[in-house]
Amino acid sequence: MVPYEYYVVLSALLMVLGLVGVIIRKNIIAMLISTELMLNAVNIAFVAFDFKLQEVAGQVFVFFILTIAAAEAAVGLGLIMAIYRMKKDVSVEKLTELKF
Amino acid sequence: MDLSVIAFWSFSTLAVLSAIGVVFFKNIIYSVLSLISTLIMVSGLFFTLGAELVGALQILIYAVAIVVFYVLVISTVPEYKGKAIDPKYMLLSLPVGFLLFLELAYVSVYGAWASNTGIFKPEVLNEIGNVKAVSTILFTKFLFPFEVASLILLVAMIGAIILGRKEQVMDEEEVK
Amino acid sequence: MEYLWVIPFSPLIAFIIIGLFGYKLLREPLAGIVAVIGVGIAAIASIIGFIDVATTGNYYDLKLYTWLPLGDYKVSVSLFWDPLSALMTCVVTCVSTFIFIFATGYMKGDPSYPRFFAYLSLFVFMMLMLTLGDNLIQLFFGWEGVGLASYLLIGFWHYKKSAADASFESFIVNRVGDWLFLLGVLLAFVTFGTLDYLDLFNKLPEAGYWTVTAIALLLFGGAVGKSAQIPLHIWLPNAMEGPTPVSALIHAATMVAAGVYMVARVMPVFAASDLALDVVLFVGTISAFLAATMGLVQNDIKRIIAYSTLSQLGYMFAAEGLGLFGEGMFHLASHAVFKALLFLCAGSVLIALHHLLDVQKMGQIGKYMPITTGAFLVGALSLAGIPPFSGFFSKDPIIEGAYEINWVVWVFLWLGAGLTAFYIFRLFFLAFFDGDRLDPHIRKHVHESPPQMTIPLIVLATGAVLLGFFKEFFANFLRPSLDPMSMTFLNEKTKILVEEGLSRSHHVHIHENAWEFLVHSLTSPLGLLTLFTALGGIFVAYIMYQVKIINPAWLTQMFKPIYLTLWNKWFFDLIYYAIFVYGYYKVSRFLWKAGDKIIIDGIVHGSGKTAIFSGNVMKLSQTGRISAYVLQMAIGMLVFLSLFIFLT
Repeated sequence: MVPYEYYVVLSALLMVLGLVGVIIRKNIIAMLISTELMLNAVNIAFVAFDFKLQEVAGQVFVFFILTIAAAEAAVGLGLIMAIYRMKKDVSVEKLTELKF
Repeated sequence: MDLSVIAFWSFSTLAVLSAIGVVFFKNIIYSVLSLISTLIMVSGLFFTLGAELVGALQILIYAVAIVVFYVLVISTVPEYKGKAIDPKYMLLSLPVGFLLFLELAYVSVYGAWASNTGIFKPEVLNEIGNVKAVSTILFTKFLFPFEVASLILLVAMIGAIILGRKEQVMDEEEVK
Repeated sequence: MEYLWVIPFSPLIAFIIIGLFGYKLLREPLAGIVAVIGVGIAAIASIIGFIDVATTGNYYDLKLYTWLPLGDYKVSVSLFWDPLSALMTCVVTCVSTFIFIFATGYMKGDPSYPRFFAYLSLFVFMMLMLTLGDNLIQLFFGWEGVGLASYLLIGFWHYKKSAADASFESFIVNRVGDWLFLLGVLLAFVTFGTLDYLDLFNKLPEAGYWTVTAIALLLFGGAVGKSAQIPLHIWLPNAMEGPTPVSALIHAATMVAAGVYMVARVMPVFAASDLALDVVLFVGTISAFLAATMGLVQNDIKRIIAYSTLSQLGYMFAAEGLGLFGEGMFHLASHAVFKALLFLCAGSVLIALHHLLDVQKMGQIGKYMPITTGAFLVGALSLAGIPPFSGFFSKDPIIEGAYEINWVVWVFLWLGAGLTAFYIFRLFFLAFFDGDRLDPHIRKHVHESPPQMTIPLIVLATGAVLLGFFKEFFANFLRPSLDPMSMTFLNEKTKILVEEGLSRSHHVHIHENAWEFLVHSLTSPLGLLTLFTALGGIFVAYIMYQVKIINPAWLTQMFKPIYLTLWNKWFFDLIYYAIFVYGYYKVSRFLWKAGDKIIIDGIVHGSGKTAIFSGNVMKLSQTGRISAYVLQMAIGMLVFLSLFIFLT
């Protein structure tokens, strides 16, 4: 068997990749996609710890995360549609109302 | 070499590679396709860990349902013409991300985790099966969060409808 | 003797009534009447008590209320009724009564009429607490209380800047003296463990000479401030900014005499120290002479009289320094009467002339105001020391005593007597007779004052004439309080100590009977010299200001340096201004520049500027880009995770 640490390190790697994706992408849809990567990284960690601890609660949480990810995608994409309708653009460079 | 080891290495390599693709592909369609690839590989990893239920759900919900959302939105919004990646932020984020990865890995691997306290030993799981174990816990211990999750989905659905529709009703009211 | 508590508290009740209801219910005439009734009751009660003490020779020590327990010692509110305090109380209440009556006329029409009488009643209460206390703490309470009342009344017309400034000046200068006085009280408490006069006197022989000297000198420092002796005299002439009844009551008759009274009250302490008596003598003599010279050239009618007050207080202190405490207190009593008379006459003149103060612009008002003129003449003759007026019987014994004890002191006091006669008659001739310098517009309205103002003048003038003939009575009356061998409340050791202390005046023989003294003065060369000096002063004033054989302006030109020195009051004000006011200003300015501007403002402004600067720097992080915020969050996570890893 592969030790669970390998899974955990993989999870950390995917997590960081998702984070970097959120930071560097200019397209707001791509940023949302990167957040899905991060959610998956968390899923892997949950299942890996379940495996280690001989539990199934983590898998229940994966189930919840799937639910939340669906909701998040729905709302997030709805927001993107609204933004697009308002600004005719999906680049984060144009979404700087919070600038000083 | 053990089959599970081969499976892990192949799944994980492909997952990381497609994740890199998600982050760095200029074309957003490629990114979404890479995301599907990643999700399937992660699902495969779940199977190697013996979590058949969430593995199946991963493919069903994530790789199919959620990704379809993205494809729909991408098809609505015109193609994004600018540069995919902001080089300034890439320069800044890569060292931060690298350090963060090291620390996360360190914490995950060497953290003081509790060990082997669960009741679902491999023998038990082999006897009752993963699906039954997860469902039992889900519908007993986590029943209330389960219901709350359904409520969140309902709220998200309504929110998405309100956000996504064209504001024709408002226009009609204004006309009146 | 329990009725004595009425004396201090009836003015207090009047003060409370006027203070609470003065503006709403009492208003103009009633407030004054309440005040007069309050002080009148006190006067009647004190006269009854005075007669009791005079006939029986007893002393009473009534403790009314324990105020402040200090370890084993309890400070009490008390009435100490012996001849000395009885005399002082009578002087205060009787003079106050007449001045209150005068003030009801003088303050007519003033918008703050009730406030004036409230303050006056408060003053009388405080003054009586001062005189009647049997311990130094109560004395100090009254001491500060009269200072407060004096401050309030000098600044009564607070909308005048000069009055407000003068009230501040008097308060601040008095603080210097009061600070010394308080130190003296504390030193006495530390040394003797008690502040009751009687216990304190009886413990005197136990204390060392230098301790007693220090206590006496510190207490005398307070007296110098309160009685406006040199070098703390500068506030008194400026205190004349207050209404004239205030000048008469507080700054001539009673409060400024509190220092003299206090020295007499704690006479055994002073008598136990030669040095302290010498200092009292020195300060008194210098004040008597210098104040008389300052009075020579003033033109403000009230300030001339104020300088004469300084000078006469100097005589009293000189008498006490010479060991002639009885003569000093007798001079206090007679001075209170004739100085109140002079001030009230000045007030009457001011009412007639619409508050014109400059004597150079007066003249010829005598024929319009006969009663005021007559009363002023009585007061002036009394001040000059012309027999048979009271000033003669009270001042000449001091001068004669000085001749037999210390001839240097005598020279100054003798010259001062001549100068006194000169300046008061200079004022008299300039104001009441002489040429026609009065503004015609004012002249039309010059008239004699109403009865409530003239009757007090007549009564006080009568007192100034008659009081001197009671010289023997007062000398015998005061003996149980001021003659150590007759002071029944002292133990034997203290009696001997005090007797030795006063030995400097033992060889002085002053005729106690007024007639004998008069005859002696008119026959002995010393008495005649003093008398002719006073007459000479009057005569010089007459030829200079009435017949004008000598032109004052020409004299001024001849002796310009002397004139300027006197005109500038020996430069005391300038020196004090240069040292204290300007020095304080410089120190304050330095603290303002260094402390306020740099340190405090630096901190305050610096914190504001730091906030603005850091805001300007930090706002650069608010780019509005989601990427930037996520990056910052990632860095934050990194930092906290690092802390978590490296600190645990």
